[in-house]
Amino acid sequence: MELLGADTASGLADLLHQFLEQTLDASAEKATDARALRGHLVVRAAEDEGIAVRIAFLGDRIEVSDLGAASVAGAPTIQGDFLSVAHVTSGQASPLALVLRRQLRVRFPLTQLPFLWGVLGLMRIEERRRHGLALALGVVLLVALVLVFWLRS
Amino acid sequence: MSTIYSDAWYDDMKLLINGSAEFRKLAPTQRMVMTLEVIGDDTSPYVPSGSAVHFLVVLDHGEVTEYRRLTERHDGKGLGFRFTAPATVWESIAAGQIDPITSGLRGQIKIRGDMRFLMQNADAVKILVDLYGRQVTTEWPQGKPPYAGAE
Repeated sequence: MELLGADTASGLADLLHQFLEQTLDASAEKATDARALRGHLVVRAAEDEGIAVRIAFLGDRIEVSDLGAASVAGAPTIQGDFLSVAHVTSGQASPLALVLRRQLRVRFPLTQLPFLWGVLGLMRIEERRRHGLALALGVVLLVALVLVFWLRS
Repeated sequence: MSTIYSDAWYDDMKLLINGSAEFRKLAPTQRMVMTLEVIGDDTSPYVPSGSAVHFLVVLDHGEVTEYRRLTERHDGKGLGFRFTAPATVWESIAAGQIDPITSGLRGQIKIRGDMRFLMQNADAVKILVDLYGRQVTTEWPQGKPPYAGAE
């Protein structure tokens, strides 16, 4: 993880850099997922049009840098206020719900959908817990089915 | 009314936060220790350049249990968050003249800590910083922001 221009970085860039670094440090699985991602994501603050951050997933490293008012051709862009971005990353709200409520604007070429999906999954704090819950439910269901068939026979 | 950075001001801030039912509802239940660092600049009449004011905020079960001035910079042991900004920025927020979230996004307030915790408790953080800026009982004996000479 590298924050380019760290001395003069915006708070959003600094926050996302720390957030991603801590997320990847906490999960080897997410670190592996991150290495498989290739592309650029732009996160733009709704509070100030001049604050935008580019997160570049380059395989062996991730670079976070300020973009200002510039744009990155073909890169998915997420624009929202601090609370909306926090709600998406913490799993308190789905991106779709916030898009429908116009609290979040997401723009992306269709070809970038898998990349965007991968990044959102990576940044979502509750994602692994949900996977764990789904897995636990699956195991319970499987055990129940085995018991039903065993009792029948 | 209490003078900014006085003991009574810290007590008032504590009462203000603990009086917020909204904050109590959304605040994290676990203990969280934070420090706010007010770095002196050439503009603030309260914290001159070359000096600093450090204060400690301790949250426990949705309540502020400590809100007081520290005699020196927190050494970081057991610390959850460190918020650092020039005095003029903190005082402009306290005077309700700039938005603390936008200041944070611009990098005027440096934040160090568990960003995942921050994201998970963003609503509580928003209420906390809004309360800091919404309080109206501060006395400014040497003048209130915006200060002459500030950018």
